[in-house]
Amino acid sequence: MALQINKEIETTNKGVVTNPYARIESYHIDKGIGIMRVSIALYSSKDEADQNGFVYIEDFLDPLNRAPQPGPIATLINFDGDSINYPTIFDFTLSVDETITEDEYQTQDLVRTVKYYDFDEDGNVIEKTREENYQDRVKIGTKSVTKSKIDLSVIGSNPYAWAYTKLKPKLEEVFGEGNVIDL
Amino acid sequence: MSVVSIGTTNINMGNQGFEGGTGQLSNIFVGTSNNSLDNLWDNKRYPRGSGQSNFGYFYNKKFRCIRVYSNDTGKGTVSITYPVTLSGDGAGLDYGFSYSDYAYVTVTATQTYPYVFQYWQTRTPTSGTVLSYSASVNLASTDWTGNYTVTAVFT
Repeated sequence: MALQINKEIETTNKGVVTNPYARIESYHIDKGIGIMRVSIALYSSKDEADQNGFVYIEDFLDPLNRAPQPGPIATLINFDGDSINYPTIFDFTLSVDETITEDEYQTQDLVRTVKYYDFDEDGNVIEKTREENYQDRVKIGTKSVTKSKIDLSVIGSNPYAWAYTKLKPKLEEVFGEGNVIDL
Repeated sequence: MSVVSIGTTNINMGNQGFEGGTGQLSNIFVGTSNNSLDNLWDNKRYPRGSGQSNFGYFYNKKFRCIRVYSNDTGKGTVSITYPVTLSGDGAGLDYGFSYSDYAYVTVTATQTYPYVFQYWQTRTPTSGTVLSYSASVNLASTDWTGNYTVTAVFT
């Protein structure tokens, strides 16, 4: 699973690359806020991407005895005459739209009567009232709103494939519609 | 890369006078000088996020932190090329990368003709351990976690 960008880019560390290979490097699901966060990298080719990976966990833990990994395409690239940093982090919401009825409130200027105590001419305590202005949040009705309800099940049974379907249009925003294809 | 683990209680900025490794926010930067939460938020941690700086972001989170040097900027320069491109001038760059979002950081040494890149090595707190003979190399989350700064050696 990966994506290919059908464009030529000029990189700062790997020369001119035709058809960069986009791979998701990590997946992180935050159930609390309904987000899948993925980090991605661009490579010159699938072979290069494969070199930037581990077969055995022991290799990962032993930096001195593993083959050095040259890394992906530097994020600073030239594309269509512009110098850009290709994005490496994407957040995808795990939600479904739901229309609900919510109370509608409005802050209003109101007047209320309050008691206070004073003294009469004979020095006796007496109760008086006065009016004072105040603001309050007042329910004025109800309204229908559409919200994104957290629903982890939208991922389906294959979170990796789901993430790529979400990633594709995001990369098309950077590299142009129709320029990103599935591999 | 050193790993700076911010805890769940008594989160503080810190200023410990040495580089990297302990769970205070200043260690995401260097730890040897005063710093501000805004600077950490705006300039020194990745990935970038929106909104205003807040301690809550750092709560219970780990960062991979790194500073890269050139042994001689006249012979070659250093940079970080993934997950962001940060050009180095040899004077050092300090950045913290969210541990849960990035599994590695790529550092790249660029030699200046006629000089030649030789290797990457640790600098502090222990110097001289060769990390790689490749000019461009991924440093993974568990690599040399006690070492905060690395140097590209050109001759």
